[in-house]
Amino acid sequence: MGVYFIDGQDTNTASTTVLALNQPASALKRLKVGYLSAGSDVSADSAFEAVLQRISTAGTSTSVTPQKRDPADGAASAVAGEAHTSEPTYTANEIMLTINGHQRATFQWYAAPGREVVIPVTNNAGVGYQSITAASAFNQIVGMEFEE
Amino acid sequence: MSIAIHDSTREDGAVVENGRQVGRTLLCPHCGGHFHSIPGSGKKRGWCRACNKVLCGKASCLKYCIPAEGRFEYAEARNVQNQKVIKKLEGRYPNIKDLAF
Ligand SMILES: [Zn+2]
Ligand SMILES: [Zn+2]
Repeated sequence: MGVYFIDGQDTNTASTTVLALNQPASALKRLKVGYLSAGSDVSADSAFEAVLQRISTAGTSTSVTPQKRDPADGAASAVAGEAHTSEPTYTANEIMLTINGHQRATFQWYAAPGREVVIPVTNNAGVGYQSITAASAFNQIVGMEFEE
Repeated sequence: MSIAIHDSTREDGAVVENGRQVGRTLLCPHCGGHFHSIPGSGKKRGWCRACNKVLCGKASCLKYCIPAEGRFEYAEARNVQNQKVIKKLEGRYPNIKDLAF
């Protein structure tokens, strides 16, 4: 068991996945998302709405290597991606968290221990941070911490 | 101490903005998702008497009591085509197929 951190960024135009976390093609372990942050590196005024939603199939993206919190742990089995050129396939209505925020206020969410969002051991299953709307699209930076 | 009329004794997640906690989330026992719980909002989300927990309010979560753990096990059994576990879960939760993710 290890704890890993991933981060990604993208312009948060509606329906853009900023960061996705997926099981590999042959899933090995459950993934548990316990932390999420959403902010920006651009100072401007824009409110935004996004969701953390279940994915059944990963999209096409630039891969993000999960960083281990404990150097003694091995590499994560999970895969992650940012800058999607083709969006993941989301499972309808399976919204695990809604994020309503403002560009100038970094949003952070911490799950209580044992209350994380679980991704079952199912090939390619995952969760993605998908933008729903932004008053004026901006570069959004999203971080997630997960355990596996 | 006042008597809570909402499920205010728990906090499954904390929402922080600019370093300050501004809200909390609860975990839905049926879908395994978190939702923002705002005491006094007047939102009716539903309560499961079997799970003894407040639900997120999603139609599928209100319709059936299929705990998230059952759904994860079902997804995992289908992933490796474990027919024994698939049959067992379909027997216990006849509508579990409708909720596959
Ligand atoms: Zn639910
Ligand atoms: Zn229930």
